[in-house]
Amino acid sequence: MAESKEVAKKEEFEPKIIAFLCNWCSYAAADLAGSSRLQYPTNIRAVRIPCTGRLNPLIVIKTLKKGADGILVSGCHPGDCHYIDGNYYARRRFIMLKELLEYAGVEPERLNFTWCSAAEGRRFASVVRQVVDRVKSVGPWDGYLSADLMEDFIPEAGNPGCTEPDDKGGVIDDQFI
Amino acid sequence: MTNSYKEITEDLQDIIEQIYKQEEFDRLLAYGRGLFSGLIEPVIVDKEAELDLDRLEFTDEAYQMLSKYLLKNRELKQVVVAKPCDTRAIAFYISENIIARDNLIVVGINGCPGIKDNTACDECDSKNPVIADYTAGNLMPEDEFAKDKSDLKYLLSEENQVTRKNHYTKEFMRCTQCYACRDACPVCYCDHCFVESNQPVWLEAGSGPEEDMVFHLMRTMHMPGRCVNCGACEMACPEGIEMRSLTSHLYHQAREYFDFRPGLAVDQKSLFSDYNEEDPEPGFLQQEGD
Amino acid sequence: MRLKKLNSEELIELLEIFFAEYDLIAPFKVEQGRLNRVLFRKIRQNNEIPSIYLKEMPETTPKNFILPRDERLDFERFNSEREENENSLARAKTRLFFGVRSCDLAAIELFDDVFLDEDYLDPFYESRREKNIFIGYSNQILPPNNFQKELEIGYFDHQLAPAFIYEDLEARGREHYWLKIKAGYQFSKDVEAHLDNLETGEIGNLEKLLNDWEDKFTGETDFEIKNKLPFPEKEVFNQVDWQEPTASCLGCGVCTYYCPTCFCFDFFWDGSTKNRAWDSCMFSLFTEHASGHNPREEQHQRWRQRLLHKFSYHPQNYNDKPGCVGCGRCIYKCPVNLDIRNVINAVDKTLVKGGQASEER
Repeated sequence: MAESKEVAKKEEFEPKIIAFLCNWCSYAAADLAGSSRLQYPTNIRAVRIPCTGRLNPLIVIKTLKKGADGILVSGCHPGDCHYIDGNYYARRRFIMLKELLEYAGVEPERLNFTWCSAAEGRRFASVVRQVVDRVKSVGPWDGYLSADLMEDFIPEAGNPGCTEPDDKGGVIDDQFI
Repeated sequence: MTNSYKEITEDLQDIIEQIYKQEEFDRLLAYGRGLFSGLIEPVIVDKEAELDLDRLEFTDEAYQMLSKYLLKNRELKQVVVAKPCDTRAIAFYISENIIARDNLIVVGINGCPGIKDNTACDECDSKNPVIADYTAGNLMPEDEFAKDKSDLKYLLSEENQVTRKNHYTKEFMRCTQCYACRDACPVCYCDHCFVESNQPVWLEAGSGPEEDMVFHLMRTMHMPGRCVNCGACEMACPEGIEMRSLTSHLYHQAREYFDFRPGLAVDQKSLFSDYNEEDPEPGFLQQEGD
Repeated sequence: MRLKKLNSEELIELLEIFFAEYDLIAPFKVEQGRLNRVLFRKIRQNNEIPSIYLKEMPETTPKNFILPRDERLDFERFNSEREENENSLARAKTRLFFGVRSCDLAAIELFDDVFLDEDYLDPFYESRREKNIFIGYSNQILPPNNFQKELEIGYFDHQLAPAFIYEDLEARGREHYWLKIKAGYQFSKDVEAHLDNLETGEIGNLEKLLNDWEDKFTGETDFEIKNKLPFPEKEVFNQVDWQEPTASCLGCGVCTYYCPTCFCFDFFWDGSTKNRAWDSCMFSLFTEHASGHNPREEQHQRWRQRLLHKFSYHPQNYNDKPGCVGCGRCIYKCPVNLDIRNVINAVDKTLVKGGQASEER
């Protein structure tokens, strides 16, 4: 895995970004960007969701597990939610999700949250460009686990976490005189 | 200064004796010493059953969260010995309409002297019960326990992203997927946990290290706005995984961003079922090139 | 039978010889989170040998190596290679488990009964089980909450181990370790040459020592199993109040994961390969049917199953041998310190009462 990371030079690397777009605003913004012939990178895969409030944070965790290099979540601007306040609830969740994943070692550049209204096709295109640049700057995502440590992982050893003996723990020595 | 375990134990025995005389209830939840093992274990007895009051005890090993057992028999009238963190969990149950207040007789522990080896006690911000019908021990002034977070070595806020990733990889690789952390957690009460869900499959079968990591991230994501920072997850873990630093980080962040701490009042709305139009947007993509 | 006296340097030297010849697996003390644990681990380098930690009973057992937590069941490869070479799936080197307690050896014997049964031979277990040597260990410290004596499993010997190490923690000098090499095992012949330069000990002295230890091991608790095994299935199933003694169970399954004798597993598919992983009767999914019906809906019913499996069904099927070796791990690993002895005690009391009632009639 470490090798493939080196091979994929950062310039050539084309990230796979999953975009969760709210049906009422951001998905329409993506549509508008398309019908206005605005160019933006093709790295995003759009997933239409009814509202950002519907997006279970576990879906984002699972998406990264399944190999996406980055995430974009975009909904209506605060106050403009089709369901009145779905995006307000979503906002709190995203803040905590972002805090959690960054704390656990996911680069902040991979997690992108923003708001795009249905009239903002131009903004949507610029957001996508921005997101792709951000994800490219951190390179391919190789999973939640640190690749260096995984080389020591031996499933047969019963307890895989137990790789290093504790220096202080040895008792045959110090007990004998 | 805190109460001594002995004082609390004596108080508890008196109070429970009194409750047996005065109150109508179905079941008692308390701590006692194991008959053969000598370890502190939850004592769960019906009112009619025989109970040796001298067996009841509160020591620095009483780490189990008795509030968790309230969930098993929500319809019964239960007496529960509750540490301050337990009372916060109970307040959370009441605010979420899981248990009726009338079904509970809470024996709170004032000025909790803490639990051995539980890192949560180092950053405890509630040394007195939030709700209680009876209390054991003397009330302690809360501000006496204010602590500087920078003393807490296990919170890795100062470390960089790579160090943190290495740390959690190393920790979560040990996970045996027993889910004791979930089972011991007083605020994990879903009837159907995502772990056991097979439509959709959140966690794939087998026990690969990446699945372990995903489990812990998902579990932690369910915690902000619920976690009362009691440390039961880490105390329950048979592999000694340091998982509480994740939930603790979110606990402190929720407090910083939203001034929210769970289980402080029975009429509190939970973090994710409430919002403020003025909530901050840290790290969100800003307007650009419009 | 030969008895050798060793000091710690000689023991390390002997282990170095073993390390060159075998895959050496021994217990180490490691710090993990808030826990200081003793775990079996494969030794990778010579210089790790002095860190082997024997004094406390390890939390894991050879079970983790012989019936691993996750196992790929590759039938195709297994069958084709089996035809070419009888031992192709087996390891090149023999594994030597050093410092195994007698209760854990009894547990492996119990696994053999189950998995190497002539009618239901498990080839994957068999392939991991062959080429293993166990060296037993004992000292004068009773492991926490151990009740193997009540189950009639001795502390100081087991037939699976061709050799046993006794450590006298109070003695200093040559009598620090005693190595008992038993006759009639291939291992004893293999290591013969390495033993010549070691001082020979008197069997009588060791036996005296072990008798002293034996006395220390009694009288810790007043726990005893009054009824004969197997427990009568129907009476126990119906008459015992299971809820009261098991009320504090969280259903986490830690007791079964750390149990040296629990062997239940679950199958799952990873693409087109079949895998098996440990399962636990303490989990709610263990008996859930596809229809959604679950015959053991409540935790106390699952406890009833665990206890009856160990003390009724297993002895019924395997010559009255209990499915528990009394190592005590389930007690001190339990997150709420639920003691299986309390539950056995409840069963015992009910049976005694029931017996008296029927006599009176």
